[in-house]
Amino acid sequence: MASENHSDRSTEPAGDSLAPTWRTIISVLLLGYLGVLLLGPLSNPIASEHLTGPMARAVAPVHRVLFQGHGYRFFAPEPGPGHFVECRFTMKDGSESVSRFPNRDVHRPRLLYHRWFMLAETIFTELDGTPDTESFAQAQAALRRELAQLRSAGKLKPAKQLSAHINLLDREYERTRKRIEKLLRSVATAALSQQPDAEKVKLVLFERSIPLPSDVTAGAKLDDPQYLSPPLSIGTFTRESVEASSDSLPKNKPATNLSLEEIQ
Amino acid sequence: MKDWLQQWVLAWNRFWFEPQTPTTLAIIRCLTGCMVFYNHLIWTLGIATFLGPNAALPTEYRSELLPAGRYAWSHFDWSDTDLWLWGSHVLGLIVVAMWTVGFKTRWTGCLTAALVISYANRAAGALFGFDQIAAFLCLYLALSRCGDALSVDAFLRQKSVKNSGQGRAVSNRIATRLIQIHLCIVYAFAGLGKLGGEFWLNGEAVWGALASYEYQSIDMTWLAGHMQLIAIMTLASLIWEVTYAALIWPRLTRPIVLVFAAMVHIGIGAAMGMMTFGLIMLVANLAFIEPHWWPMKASER
Repeated sequence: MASENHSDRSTEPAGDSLAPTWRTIISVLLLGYLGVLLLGPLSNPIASEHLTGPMARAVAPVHRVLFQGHGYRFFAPEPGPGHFVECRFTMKDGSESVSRFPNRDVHRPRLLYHRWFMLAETIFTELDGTPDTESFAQAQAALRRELAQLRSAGKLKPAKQLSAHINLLDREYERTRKRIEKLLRSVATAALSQQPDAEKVKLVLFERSIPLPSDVTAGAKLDDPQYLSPPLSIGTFTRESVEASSDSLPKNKPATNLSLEEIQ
Repeated sequence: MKDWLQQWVLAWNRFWFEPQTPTTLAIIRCLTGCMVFYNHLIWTLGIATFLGPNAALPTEYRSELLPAGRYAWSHFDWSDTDLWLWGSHVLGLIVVAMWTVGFKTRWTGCLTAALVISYANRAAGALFGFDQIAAFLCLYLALSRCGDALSVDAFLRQKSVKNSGQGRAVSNRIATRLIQIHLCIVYAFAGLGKLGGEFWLNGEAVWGALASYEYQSIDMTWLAGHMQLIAIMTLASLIWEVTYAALIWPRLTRPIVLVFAAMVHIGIGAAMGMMTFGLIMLVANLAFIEPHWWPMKASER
């Protein structure tokens, strides 16, 4: 181990010998970087439409390149329910097989389990944040009625703004739907690759709520089925095409809820 | 006014540019390196599922999900052959191992930071806090001269005739400050986010964390009969997290804040199965331990 004496060793100038120009340049860079850093949690998950949102969009390339820009809301605003995805395989001989992720008996060590856990949470977040087709269409229809009223009242400027807003929502919804479809298809492809004899796979999402302390003191277990919400079918995918069949979300999100009995 | 400004400039220069010995950063490098190596080793078990061209997460997912997502680069996008997938992965493991032991640290430090970011970008959708903390630690350590102590580089340098390179450096101070400030930002926003949650304020949030079946690794449900204890743990964690950014700087309160950090993160790691996250947070907290606090000989600092 080398000694504390740096006079003959340090290849870098000491702070007090760092040229003022360099100090100034580095200081400006540091201030800029810290600003970029702060814009992450100030814009994620919620941003100010008039300040942090546009600023965060401007520095988003830096966030992406350096893997920064996170919100850091660990367990906030509160610990929520857990989620898991069940993969129901139909084999070529007609038999059925079921696996799930995350699965603490299969996905070991714990870090690997956590990756699967986060994948299930990502699927939930995507689906939960996207309305089904019917709800979205109803909301858009209400906006279009409002638009018609504005036009008939001769309020052309707000009508133009609303029209642009409706078109933007349409485009964003379509983009989100495609992204989710692609994600689910990839998950199904990965699931089918682990079951060579499977013909198709149905993905079903479960939510497990957190039991009350009084229930637990009365003897309830955390994995008791009573804490599972009704399962949500999120797509059936065949091996040949790995294309979503008609129940793929978010198209029919509420309509495809299965009964709890069906999965037990 | 002029004096006031001069005092600001002096304080700023002292804060950012006072040269610092590499001991603390070297220890952080060794520990972060071990954890990143373990993380990449575990990726091996799910390499095709999470990182390959036909992974559960489509390669274009992140670019469609994130603003400016096309900048979320990953070397896994550069080729879809198995040779590239496995070859780069094995090479990556070697690089991280070299950095951990401090061999060619300047180069392997930059490469390790790039690898951690690349893996995280590719696996967007299967990430958690560990990835975020590991990324910024590697990034800042790459700026420093953390290879000047506790490293193969330092050992070889001592043997060499020229014997140069080790000592106090401004870059060590800058890297340390960046880790410290980044950690304060993490805790501040994690704490402020919790203030919007009913269960953090009514003292039940820790129950929600301990009684989540998906998280559970140790059965702590016996605490259901001791909700006062749950409330104490919840409110103490909340107060600690919210005040961290203020109380970590004064030397009087710093040891208390660090001891609390150890209790919280080891607790989260043990009870909620997130030991990797708990440990990397603790490693980041080491940035607040000044080099002369370590029980080493002065010559080793």
